[in-house]
Amino acid sequence: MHGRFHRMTCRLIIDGHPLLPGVTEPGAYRFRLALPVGTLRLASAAARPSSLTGSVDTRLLGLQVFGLRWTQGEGEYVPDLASTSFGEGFHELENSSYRWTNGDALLPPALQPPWQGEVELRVEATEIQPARQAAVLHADAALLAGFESLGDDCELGFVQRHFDATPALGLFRWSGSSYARLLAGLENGFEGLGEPEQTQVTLVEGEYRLTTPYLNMHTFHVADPSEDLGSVHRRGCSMLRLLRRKLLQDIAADRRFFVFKSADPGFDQAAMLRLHAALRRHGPAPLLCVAPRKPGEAAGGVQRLAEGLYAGRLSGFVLSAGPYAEWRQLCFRARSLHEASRP
Amino acid sequence: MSDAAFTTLAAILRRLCQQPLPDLAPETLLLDIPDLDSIRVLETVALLEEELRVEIDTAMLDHLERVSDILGAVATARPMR
Repeated sequence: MHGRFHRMTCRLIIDGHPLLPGVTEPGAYRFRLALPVGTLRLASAAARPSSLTGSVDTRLLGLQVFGLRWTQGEGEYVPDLASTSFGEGFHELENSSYRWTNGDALLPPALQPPWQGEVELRVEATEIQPARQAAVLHADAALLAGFESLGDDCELGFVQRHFDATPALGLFRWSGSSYARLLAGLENGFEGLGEPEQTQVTLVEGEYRLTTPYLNMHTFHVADPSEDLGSVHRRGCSMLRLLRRKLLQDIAADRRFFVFKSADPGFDQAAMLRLHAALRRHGPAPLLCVAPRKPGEAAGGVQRLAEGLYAGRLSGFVLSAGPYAEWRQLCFRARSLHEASRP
Repeated sequence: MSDAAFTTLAAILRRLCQQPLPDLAPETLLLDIPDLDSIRVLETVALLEEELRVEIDTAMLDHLERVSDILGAVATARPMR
């Protein structure tokens, strides 16, 4: 199912939803959007010059931004590139003329005009060299495609989508769960998952969702009044049974690096070890447990807790809005540690 | 098996997709079938397994791009336990 999502390019992420530029011209991208918005990010592919050209520059670079220009009718708003509001995701101002992003930069309210309604945002920028970037992107997509979520929500799925990694659907990719429900499932082999009496179809915001003892799963299927609910239930159960079998076989065959994330303060080292032991009942696949960093810990850091068990730290969880660069770093480090530990 | 599998697969796709289907052929890209997202692909494979009473090798789910990939997975499947 490769290619379902567009290739990486400059885009806005508005409250977690991507918006591609309506017009692209040499050196600029023009977006039409409606203000006000919640969270606004400027996203693109990114790469480290040190990994592309032998440069000593190890920064993660995405867009080289020369200016932002908002317009609405005759109105114009141009934030000063020297402003300290260019913070998260932006590097320092260089040559008094541009800033690089890291591929995932926040445009806070201070960089937005106080207008309402439809506006145009012109981003004067160039992306890091596409030909070389493509190789890095492919590597990032391949890296992320090797990981599979076990919950507790869909954040890893959004990260994979961000990096254009589209692995086959896994049981938890678009599901919500909890530590306790996942642990119970791993300990009993997800017994009964997909059995009709343990599966409910619920209608949430116009979408069919599957509710089971172990997880709640999006189907992204819009409810159709003409559709027989029994049919939706039947095929949902069939898919859950197939995904259960796939998950257990992927663990047994060591085909994925599994990831469970939780911000629950109780998700400590002992809890990680217990989850890992439950996973190991089914096979040798490695597990990366991700939690928010504690004071003094670095975001993106990974620690090996046991054979095939790793603990990673992020600055925070934000579901559909990253932090993509940290997730990529986390997965890269976990995979590197795991490969280094193998005979 | 392949003719029966193709006929069954086509019938399932007609049932699941709510728009007219293109002329299905083994080389048809799944992406080109309207309404067929990754979840519907999995639903299709799951229903196909049940109707044909087989279990496919789940490793093959990682490589489903064309109708022929699904038929190939079915061709190498084992009887349902």
